[in-house]
Amino acid sequence: MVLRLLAPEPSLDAARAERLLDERTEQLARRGAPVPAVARAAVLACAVGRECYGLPLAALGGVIPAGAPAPVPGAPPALLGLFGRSARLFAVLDLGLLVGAAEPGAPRPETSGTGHWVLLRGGPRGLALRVDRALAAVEVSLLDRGAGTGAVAAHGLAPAGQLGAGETAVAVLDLDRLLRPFRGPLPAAPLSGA
Amino acid sequence: MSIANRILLGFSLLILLMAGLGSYGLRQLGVVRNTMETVVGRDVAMIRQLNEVRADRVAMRDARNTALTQFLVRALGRPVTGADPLLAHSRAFERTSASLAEASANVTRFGDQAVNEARSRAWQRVGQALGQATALLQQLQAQTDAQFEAIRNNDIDGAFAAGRTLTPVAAELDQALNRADSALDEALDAGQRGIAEIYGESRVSVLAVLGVAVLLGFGLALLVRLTVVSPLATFMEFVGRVGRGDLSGSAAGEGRDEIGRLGSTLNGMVEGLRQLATQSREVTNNLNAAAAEIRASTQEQAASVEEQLAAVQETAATMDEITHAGAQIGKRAQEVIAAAQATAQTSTAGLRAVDDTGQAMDAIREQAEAVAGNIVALSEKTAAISEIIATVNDISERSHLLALNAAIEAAAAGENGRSFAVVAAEMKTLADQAKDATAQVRSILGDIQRGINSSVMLTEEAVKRVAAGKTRTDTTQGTIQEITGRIQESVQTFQQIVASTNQQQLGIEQVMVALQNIRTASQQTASGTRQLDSAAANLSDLSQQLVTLADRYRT
Repeated sequence: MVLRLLAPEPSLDAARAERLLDERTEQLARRGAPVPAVARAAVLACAVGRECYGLPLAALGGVIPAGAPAPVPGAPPALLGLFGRSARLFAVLDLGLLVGAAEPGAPRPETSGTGHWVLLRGGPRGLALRVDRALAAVEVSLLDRGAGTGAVAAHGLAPAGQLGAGETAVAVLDLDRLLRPFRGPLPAAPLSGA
Repeated sequence: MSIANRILLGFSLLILLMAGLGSYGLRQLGVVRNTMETVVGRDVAMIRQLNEVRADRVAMRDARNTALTQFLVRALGRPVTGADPLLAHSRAFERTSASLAEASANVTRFGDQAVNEARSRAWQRVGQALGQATALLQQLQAQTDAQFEAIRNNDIDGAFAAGRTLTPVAAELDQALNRADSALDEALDAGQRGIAEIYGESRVSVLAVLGVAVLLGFGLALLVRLTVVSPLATFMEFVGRVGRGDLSGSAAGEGRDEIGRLGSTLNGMVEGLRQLATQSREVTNNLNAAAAEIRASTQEQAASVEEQLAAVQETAATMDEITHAGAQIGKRAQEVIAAAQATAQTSTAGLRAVDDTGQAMDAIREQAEAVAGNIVALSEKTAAISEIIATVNDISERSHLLALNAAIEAAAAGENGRSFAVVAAEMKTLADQAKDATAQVRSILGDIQRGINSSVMLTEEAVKRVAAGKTRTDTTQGTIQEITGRIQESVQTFQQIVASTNQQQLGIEQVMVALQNIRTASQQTASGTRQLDSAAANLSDLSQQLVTLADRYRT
């Protein structure tokens, strides 16, 4: 066996180059085409399991790497715990459990500290959503508007190249509906919102 | 009357008859004897007397002749010696006369008392002859006296003349005497005829009485037969039947006399015989059955002895086979020992080869370990590179988060954050580039690490394989040693097998000796059983004969 330390495999590089060139070609081809009036939304595409959910950018306050939340006894399974940042108390919720994408009993890597915590802006208290990975801030073109009855507000398509090779479907979430049960006042520490 | 009395009576009658007959016969014999005595006595007496007469006559003649001779001699002038012949002559003459007289008297007496007429006539003729003889004798005497006178007178011629006249007289005297003799012979014949007649008569009479006695005897015999022999014949026929074996005949008649008692006794005897026959037939049948059982059991015994002999034969044959098999086992064991020793040598060579292999594997392992050491050094370096990659990854991640936060802030700032959005976009681009570069580097480093890992894995695998090979070689060595040890053990075992086979041989030889003894004993038993069988066969035949004998008497 011969070890190739510094010489990359030419086949992989050529395929990638090919793909990049194809994407670039499409982009250039679309450059002059009139952009159809498509409803677009600016979301933060997050990967939860195999699904890609979109969180509205306006409602977000930031993304931080996941840590070890302090567990709260008697909490619902979606509530992973509490943590503090910038002198604020945040409650971490698991997005997968919230949207029902994962079983509550399934082994989750939340205690290992992988994933991202998406901090939410506003609300009486600080909430953070735990996602597997915050992929990118994209503008998705909505396919249907307000079709979902649950937390999923709409479905959108992210442009190609942003999240993957092709257009990736993103489920845009309605945070209000999603987090309604958790937006109530805390029983212990009353935090009055602005 | 009982049969004995009847027989006694009959016998006594017969005896009386016989006695009578005997006495009559004796009487007749006496008569005949007396007659014969008379006849013979008289005749003998007469003959004697006649002989005396003749002798005397001869003496007379001799005396005369002597006288004459003497005269002549004297006439010749010779002296004479001797007695006086004249005296002798006279004496002889007297004697002759006396005899003649006596004879005549006897004859007369005899004639009177003659037995029969013929004899009487004969005596008369004898008397006549004697009378003539007497007369002649007188004449002769006279002439002799004349001659003597002449002699005394010394008259030779007168003597001679007297002699010449004497001679015919003497001849006539002699003839008379002869006639007396012949008459006497006639008397003798007559006497004999008379005796014969008397004998004939008495014979006839005896025969007659004998015939009567015979007839009486026949009658008595018939009587006896009627009363004795017929019942006895019945009895004999009955006994004959019994003797032939027919015991079923009717019983003999019974009665009060001896025949009856004999009949009752015979009945009793036949009854006893019948019981005896029945019992003996039963016993004989039992004996026959017992003999048959003995025969059967002896035959069974013979068969079992035969089986025993056959089993002994089989056992002997099996022992032979075992011996043979044992010998073969010994031989095979020897062969196996030889093969095992060859195998031991082969395994020694194998061990050497395994040793060589082990050493080669050790060399390989050392080299592999050296390679692994190099790779480990490389891996450590790669680990350092991994740290760098982690750092770069961290940078990339932070850049990514920074871009996201920037985008979020830009979105939150709204219109005021539009220029910041450009900065955010640039930061995103930078983050993406960093991410791409990071991804590239990571991929390259991943490749490197994969290569190193694979090399490490391959080397480890090589080492493992070498180790496994070494292990296998050790295992093989151990196995070969174990095999060698086992082979040695089996060699020992086979040697033990050979030894125990030899012992087994000894034991089998002893068993063979014992089998021989058993066979001898079995043969003896077989011969004894055969004798027993023949004896049982004899017994069976004898009992068969007994059965046949017992069947003689059919009840």
